[in-house]
Amino acid sequence: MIKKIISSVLMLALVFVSSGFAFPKSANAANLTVMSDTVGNLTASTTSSHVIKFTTPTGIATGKTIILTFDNSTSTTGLASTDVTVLDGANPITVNAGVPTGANWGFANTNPAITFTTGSGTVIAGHVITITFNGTNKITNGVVGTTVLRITGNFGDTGAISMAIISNGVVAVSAEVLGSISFSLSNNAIYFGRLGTGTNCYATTTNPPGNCTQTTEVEAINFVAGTNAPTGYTVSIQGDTLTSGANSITALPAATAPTPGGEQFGISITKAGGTGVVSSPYATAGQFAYTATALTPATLATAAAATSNTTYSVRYLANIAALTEAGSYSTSNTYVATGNF
Amino acid sequence: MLNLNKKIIYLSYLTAFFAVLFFPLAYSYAALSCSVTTAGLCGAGTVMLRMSGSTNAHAELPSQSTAVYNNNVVCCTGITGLGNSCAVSNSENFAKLSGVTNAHVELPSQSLYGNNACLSSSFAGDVITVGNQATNCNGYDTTLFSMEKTPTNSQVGIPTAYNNKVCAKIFSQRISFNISSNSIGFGNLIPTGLRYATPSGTGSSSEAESLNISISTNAPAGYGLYVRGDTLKNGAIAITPIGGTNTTPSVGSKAFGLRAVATGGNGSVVSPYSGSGFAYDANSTTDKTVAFANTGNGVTTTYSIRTVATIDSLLNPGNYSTNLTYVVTANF
Repeated sequence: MIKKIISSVLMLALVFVSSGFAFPKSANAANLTVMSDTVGNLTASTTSSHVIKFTTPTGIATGKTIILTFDNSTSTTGLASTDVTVLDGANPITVNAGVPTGANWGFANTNPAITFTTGSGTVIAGHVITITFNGTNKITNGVVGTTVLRITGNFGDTGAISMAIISNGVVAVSAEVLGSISFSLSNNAIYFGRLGTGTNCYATTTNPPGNCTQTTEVEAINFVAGTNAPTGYTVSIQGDTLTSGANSITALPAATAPTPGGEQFGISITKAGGTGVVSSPYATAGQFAYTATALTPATLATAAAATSNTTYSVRYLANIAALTEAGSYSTSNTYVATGNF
Repeated sequence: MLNLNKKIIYLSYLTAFFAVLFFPLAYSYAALSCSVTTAGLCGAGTVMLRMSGSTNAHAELPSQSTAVYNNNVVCCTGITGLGNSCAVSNSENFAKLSGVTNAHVELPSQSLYGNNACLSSSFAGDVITVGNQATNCNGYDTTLFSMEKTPTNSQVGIPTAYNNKVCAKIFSQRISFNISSNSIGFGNLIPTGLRYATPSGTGSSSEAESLNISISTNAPAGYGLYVRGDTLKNGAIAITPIGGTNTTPSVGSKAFGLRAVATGGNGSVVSPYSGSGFAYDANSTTDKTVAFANTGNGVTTTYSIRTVATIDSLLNPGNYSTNLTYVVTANF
């Protein structure tokens, strides 16, 4: 029976002790809880925003001071009441310079301390206070090391928040994009074969053993151009018309339809893809021209801006007259693409 | 057999009772340690209070030197910068004395006596908590002394002398943050492959660490690591940020992003930066969380940051750049 009594007493004592009723505790100022200071830039000696949050276990009565004091050479010089916003939970509290006015909190800056004095309102125990400094004037970080923000005053609670101030909290990231232009020619040799006066002759990549066999328009070569140049590119051609010693086949100075029996040398171009365009006089379908010379280039195509690849299909025409001098005629046409960077 | 079972139950109650009574339930962060010893043995410690005896004693402030008080001084150690000044900003009053010597003592909450005894620290990040409670100093680091009665007009003694204990705790806030490199580069971006920024500035065609960030803290609620800053830009021309979904960018499309890998400590990378792909959803005015720890265990977590970019074939040539600001916020 005695053991049962002792056992019961011990059980009660256990519950009593566990509940905390046995030994009342007292402490001085309560510690603020859930404290943080989010600094916009932790670089030493740099101005930065601060978002300071804390929970007050005691609450804040009217007319009480909340003092924020930074160490480690942090400077609050220049901060004004207009640079700060205060929230009690989600509710904004207006801050004015000097002493509080009505429900407004008063604000005083005595570098490196900021003192708020509460107005006629109160903050309920357990509320979260958010103080944001992100106005025109900002707090200047101290030197490399730990900066501590102490939160004191006579409102009943105290706290401290440590921040790591480092020599440089910013990472500079760099990259380079090179100017690029792509250009290719599908073939470097094209052939007409033996020219005649009865039909139009078009060049191909196959050298016919005798008379011209390509009498309908066909692609002789194509070139492909593309670039990331902001103002695009220009493709030009340079070179003589077909010549044989001192003799030549007359180049067409403007877009002209093929006519067998007369001297004609020219090209016509179509395009596909990209944003490049064929230049005049080479853009008219079914008509040919050739305005370049050995010394003077002629523009074949352009793009006004960066463009993906445009494929240009080049068709070559050559016709002769009955009096055209006999001989082997040839030329070299040089294609050049220039990016406009 | 029945009696044996009763004895076992009885002993269980006893064990539980004393366990609750004597073992601290709260985790202790600081190393403040105080004991009553002689002034001569306090050595490098700091005297917080001097007493005329081990029990039924009067007290005097540490600034006094009455000989008989030399045999019972409250001597504290374990905290760098520990002091007994009431004048420094980081101090806490743990008792009030009726005089500078030969004094009775009252709790700090009382207002009859005007001679304060304080525990202080030169480090503002040392959070000092003092208080009094019965029986023990559970929840605190150490017991300073005991009072014959509360709240005022009390004699004092060593911690075991009386039931009313005067207790103290110091939590030394710690936060460290390091960025391994403040300048990284991709080299030449190309539309035919991904490029990864490196500290050398030349970049890499295979995934590589751009920089690493090391963080440790003992903040009870851990920390957050945030990034802020634009995507890569050349004037008004921007390389498209990947956004808030972890993605491996497509070759030949404009993309900029980063990801992080954590090692050590208890920090974790958060989505969208935790996947095998990349993301970037911050901008010049909006921070985004890269990593966090729910508790500060004092162990360093190192975050390896990898940064990726690629372009399409039409992107204007030029130098593209941005500044990314990394911020760590401890939650004390």
